[in-house]
Amino acid sequence: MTVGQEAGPPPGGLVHEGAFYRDAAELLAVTVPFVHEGLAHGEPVLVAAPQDRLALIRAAVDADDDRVRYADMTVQGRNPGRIIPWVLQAFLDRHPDRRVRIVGEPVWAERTELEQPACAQHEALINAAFAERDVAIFCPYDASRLTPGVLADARRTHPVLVDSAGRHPSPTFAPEQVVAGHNKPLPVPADPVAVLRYDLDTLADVRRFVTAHAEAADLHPDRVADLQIAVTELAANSIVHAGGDGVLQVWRTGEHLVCEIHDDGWLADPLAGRLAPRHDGIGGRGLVIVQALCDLVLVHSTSAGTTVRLHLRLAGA
Amino acid sequence: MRVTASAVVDQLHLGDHVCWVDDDDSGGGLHAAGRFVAGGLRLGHKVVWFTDAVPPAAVRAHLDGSGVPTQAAVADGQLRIVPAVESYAAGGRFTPDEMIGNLTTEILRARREERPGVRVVGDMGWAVRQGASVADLVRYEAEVNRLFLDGEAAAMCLYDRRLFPTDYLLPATAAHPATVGPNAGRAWAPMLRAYRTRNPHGLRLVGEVDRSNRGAFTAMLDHVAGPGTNQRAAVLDVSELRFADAGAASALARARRNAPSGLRLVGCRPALRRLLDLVDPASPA
Repeated sequence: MTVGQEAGPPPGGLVHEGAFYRDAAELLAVTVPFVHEGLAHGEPVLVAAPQDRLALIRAAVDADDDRVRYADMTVQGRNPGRIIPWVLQAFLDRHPDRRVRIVGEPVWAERTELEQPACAQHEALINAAFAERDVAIFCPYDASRLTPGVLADARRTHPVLVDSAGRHPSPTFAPEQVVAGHNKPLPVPADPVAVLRYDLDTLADVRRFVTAHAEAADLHPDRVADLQIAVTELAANSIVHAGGDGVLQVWRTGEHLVCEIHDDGWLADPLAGRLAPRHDGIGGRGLVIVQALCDLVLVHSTSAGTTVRLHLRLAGA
Repeated sequence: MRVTASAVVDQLHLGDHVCWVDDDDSGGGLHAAGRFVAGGLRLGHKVVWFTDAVPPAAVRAHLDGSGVPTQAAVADGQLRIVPAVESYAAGGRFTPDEMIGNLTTEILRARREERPGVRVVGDMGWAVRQGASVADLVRYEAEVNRLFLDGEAAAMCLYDRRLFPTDYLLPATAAHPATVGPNAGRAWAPMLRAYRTRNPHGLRLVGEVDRSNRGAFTAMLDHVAGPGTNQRAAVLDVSELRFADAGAASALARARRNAPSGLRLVGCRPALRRLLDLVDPASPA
């Protein structure tokens, strides 16, 4: 399974298209026929988009049977790294024997600059994650409000682009470069940082440490529990797969409680943490669970070491 | 420092199976085990100390020297101090089932003698010298957990970090419900405790499960809900399980799916319920 097969998707395999729209009419002009075509072929359809656009599409599709599912992407896909395993794959696995269709709008104007690398990597990794699956994924982009950089990344992550002139191959399609290009050292925190070194003997201390910081930051008890699980998974990965120890750093920004795990490991496979256990399976590596529980996960990984930065939104942020 | 370090063993009680990992020459393991044994003798427990790094005579001298008179205890059979290799690897070969059988006999004998409990110390350095396989050692440490579920016995296994390669030490320690060493703070308590319940058949779990004690957890699940359970439905009381990681949730999901007569969780906290949904999307919820 490689990123960006030159021969294109296998017949009936993955179709991954990006579309640029300037207003509601253009959004509906490209998405509604896609949904209707799916229904005409008897294919289950998922529409995952921000709430306002979801409502527009839903009203225009006007087919409220249970073959079309609607998901608010700002909730289900707030963490871009959550979308592949827990939104797209979850839907695919519910219909293992059928071709399915998905409208997925993962980027919106209110996304922050911090989230953009994760959004671009998410779009790029769709090509590798679902190369063997029977699915058409259609991604609308709001060209009137998104930045030129975001739109350039969209051209580089979708093998096929759709605009008013029709469908054409993207001349700049290069998903591996998008993944690699955003694998950069993470910005240095501007806020005071608390540090804890850990190893097998102190795995439980990692939980106490983040719990104290999360409670001091007034996170909801459910989110504190999520953070305990996420940090424990990453620290255990350091212990088992990355030399036996690592460093945890915790700080607070205006928007997030941030927990960063650094160790000597290397996440050489860009799909690490992007695929959930199959419908009939149990388990899943720690990282895919981490993606499910956090609001944003940023990763910088090289042969010299790996940094994983978890963000949980502060109450009221 | 020494006093604090060995004081953590005062937190141990019958039912515990704890791994003591040490990596210095200061004799921390000897002090900790000595304190564990002294506490047992005071309570009238039967005590068996399987020695390795320190010979039996020196262990006895250490106890006597720390104000624990051994003469009467040895004379009436309350205390036995024997070389570990002669018990674990009797006949020159380590056979986990045989050792578990011997410990079972020990517990039954103590019950007949109306002792309130049994305390065991096992200095495990012999395992490396005898070339015991990681698989055998880990299977032994995992399966022996069932002997402690009834609260009749407690054990402290001593592992010298310098003797065991990491790929040996990690699964061996994780087969214990709790691991502790000389750097533990005063607030230390065993990470996980499990109590067998009779009606309904099952376990009550108290504490936390993560990568550091996963082997013990899965072995205990297998013991109450696995194929050898005489077709009895099992109930796990997880209301006092304060933390479970994704691996623990996966083990629970797998046990629930494969239990021959069913496995029911009671008292599931919201975090564990969410985690079960994530690791086992097809779960009954």
